[in-house]
Amino acid sequence: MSERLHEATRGPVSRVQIARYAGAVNDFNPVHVDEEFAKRAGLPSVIAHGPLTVALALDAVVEQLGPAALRSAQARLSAPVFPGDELTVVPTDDGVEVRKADGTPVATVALARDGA
Amino acid sequence: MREDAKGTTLIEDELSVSTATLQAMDKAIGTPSAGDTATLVPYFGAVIGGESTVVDGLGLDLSRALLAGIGYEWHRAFVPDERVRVRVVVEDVYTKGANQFGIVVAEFADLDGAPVQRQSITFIERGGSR
Repeated sequence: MSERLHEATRGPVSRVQIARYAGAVNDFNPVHVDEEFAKRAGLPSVIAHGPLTVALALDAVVEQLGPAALRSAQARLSAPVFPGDELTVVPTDDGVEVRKADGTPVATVALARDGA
Repeated sequence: MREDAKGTTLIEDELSVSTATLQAMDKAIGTPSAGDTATLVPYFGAVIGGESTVVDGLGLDLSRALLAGIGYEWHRAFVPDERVRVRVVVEDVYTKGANQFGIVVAEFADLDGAPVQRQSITFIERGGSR
C-alpha cells in the first residue's frame, strides 16, 4: 500500500529564486526576470516559471516519499505565481494540488508512483 | 502555431547532465530535499539546441503563448555528469475552440539507448491565429 501524502508548504517564492531558476534552466524569458517587461504585458510583476512551480510541488512529494518512488507526473498549470506567493501543496485523490494562500489553485499534478 | 509542425523532430543530440546544472536546480528549489528533486526535474525546454529551437519549431507567438502543462515519466533519476541522448519531437498541434495547443516531447536515454525520462510540455496559444 502506498504511503499517504500530507500537506506541505513551499515558498514564499522570491525574485532571487525565480532568477536562480532562470539560470538553472537557461530560460531568461523577460516575463520572468524583467519587471518592466512584465508590467507592460499587463502583469503586476514578473512571474515564476511554470516548471519551477511544478518542481516545488514535486519537491514536497520527494521530501515525503523519496525520489525513487515516483513513476510519472502530469501537471496542469492554471494561474501565474508571483514573487511573495506562499504555496500550499495539498494531497488529492490522484496527486497534489498547489494553491496560493487565498486558495487559488495554480497547478494540479497527477502522480503515479511505485506500488500505487 | 504551425499545424504542419506535428511529427517534426526538432533536435537529436547528446548532452551532459552536469553536476553544475543539478546544483543550480537544487539551489533554485532551495529546500533540504532539493538535491534529490533536482535529479528528476531538470527542464531542458529552453536549453536544448538553443533558446529559440522549440519556439521556432512550433512557430510559437510568444506574445500569446503560455505554458499549460508539463509531464514527466521517469525510468530513473539523472546521475550527475552522465551523458544522455535526447530527442525532441513535436508530438501534436491542434486547435480547440479559439486556442491552439502544441505538445513537445523530449525523450532522454543513456548512451546504450535505455530510457531515462520523458518530458512533455504543452503550450497554449490564445486566440487570433486563423
